[in-house]
Amino acid sequence: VTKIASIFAVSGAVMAAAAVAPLRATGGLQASGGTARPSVGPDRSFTVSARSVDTLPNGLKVVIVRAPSIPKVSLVLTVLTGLAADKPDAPGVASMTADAIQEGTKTRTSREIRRTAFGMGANLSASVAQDFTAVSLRGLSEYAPNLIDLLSDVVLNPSFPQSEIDILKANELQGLQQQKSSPQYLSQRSFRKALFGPHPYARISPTPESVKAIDRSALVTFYDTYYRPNNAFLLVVGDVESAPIRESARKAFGGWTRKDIAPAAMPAAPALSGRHLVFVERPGSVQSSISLGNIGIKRTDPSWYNLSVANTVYGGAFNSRIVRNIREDKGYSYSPFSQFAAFKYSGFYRFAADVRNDVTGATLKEVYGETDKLRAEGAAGEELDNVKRYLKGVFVIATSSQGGLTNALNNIYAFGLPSDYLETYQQKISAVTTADVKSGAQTLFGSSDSLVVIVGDYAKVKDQLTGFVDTTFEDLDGKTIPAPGTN
Amino acid sequence: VDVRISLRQIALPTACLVAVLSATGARARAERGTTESSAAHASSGFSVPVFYGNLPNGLRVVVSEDRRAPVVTVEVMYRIGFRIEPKGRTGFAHLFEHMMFQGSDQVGKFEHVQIVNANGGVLNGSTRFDHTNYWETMPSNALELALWLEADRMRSLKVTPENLKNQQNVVSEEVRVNVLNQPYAAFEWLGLPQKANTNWYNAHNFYGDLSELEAATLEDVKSFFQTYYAPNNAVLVVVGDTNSEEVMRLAAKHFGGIPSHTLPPAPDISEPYQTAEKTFTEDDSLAQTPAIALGYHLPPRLSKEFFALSLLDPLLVGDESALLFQKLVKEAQIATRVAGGFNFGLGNNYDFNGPMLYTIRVDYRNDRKGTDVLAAIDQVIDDVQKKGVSADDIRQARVSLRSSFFDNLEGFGLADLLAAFALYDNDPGKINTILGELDKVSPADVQAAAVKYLARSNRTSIDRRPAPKQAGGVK
Repeated sequence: VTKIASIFAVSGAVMAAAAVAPLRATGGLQASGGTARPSVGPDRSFTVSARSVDTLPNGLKVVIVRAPSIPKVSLVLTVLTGLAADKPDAPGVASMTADAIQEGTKTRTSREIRRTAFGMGANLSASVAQDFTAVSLRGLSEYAPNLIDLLSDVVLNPSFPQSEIDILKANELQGLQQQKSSPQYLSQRSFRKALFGPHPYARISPTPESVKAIDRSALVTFYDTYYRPNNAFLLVVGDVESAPIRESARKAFGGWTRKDIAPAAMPAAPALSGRHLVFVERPGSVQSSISLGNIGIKRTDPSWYNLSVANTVYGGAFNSRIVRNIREDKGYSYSPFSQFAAFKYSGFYRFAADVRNDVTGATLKEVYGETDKLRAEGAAGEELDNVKRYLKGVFVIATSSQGGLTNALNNIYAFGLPSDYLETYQQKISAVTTADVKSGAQTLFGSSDSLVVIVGDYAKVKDQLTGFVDTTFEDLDGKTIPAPGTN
Repeated sequence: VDVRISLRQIALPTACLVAVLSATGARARAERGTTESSAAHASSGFSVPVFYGNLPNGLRVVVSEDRRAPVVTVEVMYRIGFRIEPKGRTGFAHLFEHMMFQGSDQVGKFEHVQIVNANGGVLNGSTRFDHTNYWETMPSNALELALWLEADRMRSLKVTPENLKNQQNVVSEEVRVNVLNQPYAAFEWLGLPQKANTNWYNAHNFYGDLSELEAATLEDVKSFFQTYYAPNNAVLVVVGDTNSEEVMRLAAKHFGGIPSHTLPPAPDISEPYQTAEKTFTEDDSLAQTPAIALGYHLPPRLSKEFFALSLLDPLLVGDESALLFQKLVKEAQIATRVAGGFNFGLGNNYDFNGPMLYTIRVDYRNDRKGTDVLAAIDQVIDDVQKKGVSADDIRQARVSLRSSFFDNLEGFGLADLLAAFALYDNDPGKINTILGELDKVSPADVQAAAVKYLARSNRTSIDRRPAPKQAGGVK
């Protein structure tokens, strides 16, 4: 996906919020004839669509929501197991299992699966997150019953053809090599690895060695262990009526057999002490691709709302402090942002930006300055009100589209959020106070304890990097190397 | 700097209300309907309500009412894109887009963003071949505020030397992060038109040479604004929780006093017919794996041949069942990824108005050559040219196109398409009729268009390979 020629681009879902300075007109020559600034009317009511929630005898939860904005439907079969379930020495099995089930069933070849979807205006895909695997089929709602049948065939009857696995492995190996050329990928990869250490959340991709070692039996075993109705839910969102969909789902998934799954044991993520730097040497870089952050909270932590507000003040929106500072005031970067990610067992926050080489150190200074300010003062008054209004508004905007509503619902059932999450979100955001933001910032946003990853050309920026308790150097493969220029 | 001075007081509405289509199908079931009518897509029964009006100053206004959520999207699309930006100022249309967030008569630097976010909305702007768009999606109680913000910067732009310098820096970082520090340097959408086209308007660096971006002056900003940012060179679109009466009243109030301009004559953007295949190879010092991009010049937008190729596109590169994916990734196993389309990387089949490429990008395996990939592509294309495609293929391609078209009909996507159809065709109702054009295409039409337009002589390719490693690392 290209993000070109836009005024602002963020990776991730969140953009924008908050006003600090009182709104003012600039001086100078004035054009006359402008109309007076209108006021905003009273809030208009917002109703979350009704949900049909049902559990089949085999344990599969089926959630159906009518959202008729366009005549399409999203089917998402989410398995409550993801990347974190990979064995530490064998990463890549979870994601390749999700790929492989799309490559053949007992009655359809890979091409037949795709072509059947194509003829219903549908795309089949899978996304594998830390804690879950979402297999999605989105197509024209007029084909909803047939789409449910196709999805169930893929999920219940995969045949794991060896010839397709060979292609997947070869493409994955080349994909890993290709990824190493993206500075944003490298920054995120090394950040997660250094931050989470022994915790499975340290991994965002497999290694060439682990991919080569994957065989058919590893995929079949992973599938047989985790792809079970008692470890999954089916979400149907779109221009559909719930009763016939429920019936179709019951027929298509009722024969899926349950099997108990041993609970996962997760090691603790290590706590940081001091400021650490990991420098990934990428000769010839004209920018430093920076990540800066620390360990965060799990998704169900009650302070999640406080931290959402704090992150939005900080860098989670277009009109956030970070963007106003290093973009609109200093001109250091095009799309700086901060990310607040909360998973099932833990999470992290991360500031990220690509900045020209000669302002690398200056950027770190400004970001730490914003961190210290938020920790010391929180956010108050108009700025806090504006950020809360932003989050509440964006929530309505997101859930009014089929895609946004599907994501929100998937999070509810993937993370076990309260069933009234959608109905109570706005009031919980409204309740966040200055003290909550401050305590949230002190919990989350590391300043003296934090991790910085820079992907860049060390010789061009090394003189700007000071104040770290240690510095580790990595090559593009993530292997530790001596300081560039010293060997 | 004040680039524009308003001349008259607000004139109240004598909006001529034009056009009208009626709501049937899914939206009517959902009680979205308005009194306006629309012709449903022949094949689906689905349509969106469309109101089309204008103000005396020439501003076109499109409204699509949808009461299901308390949300509106406001978009202003100007008919000025990077294609006809000033010579010697590559990248200027996009730099100018950034300046539209740097302040106007009543709105300070970045305050536009501040106001939208503080009232629960999101926003963006983007620069494309033939237009620049600006939009906000907001809770609908802020509709008038959004219109006021757009009107203020259409009427008056106020930039300072400091703000210009700031955004020159920001845009330079944008070019670095999206092009100069990236493998492949966006070659499939930024590099390919520069090689395939010969007319400067179609063949320059749209993102901008850094030196030309740096050279831009306040005078350039002022002149560009005065030339192109006028109500009679724009369309205002509002979709969502409002209706045409309210929008026309508010549009007249806030935009009605902005004077129209005399627009400059359109430059000649035509692209001469290509008579021989062009192939290029490039060394990429940042890439680790090779990729090739190829582009075929397309027939004129919305011509019969254009629709024929629109149907062939999903059969060639639409998904993993498509001919090129099956050939390159599954059968020959020389590629890892195949992607492509009209206006690739920048938009869709409808949001442009000038010479355009049909682009295919293939990421291929390290141990293969770009010529292997081209040979395999040629086998597929030769086969289509000789044997055509089946009626069933065409039927399924229609279904696929209808489905992907619908994905664009929520929020900003809907506003942007309505704006393009109003700006380029003076007919936003095309949103409800355009798919019907695909029903008229026969398998023979597709075959004939493939023969004529997917000819090798009409093709340009860039094969981009990892640069040979040098001692001490990549230079």
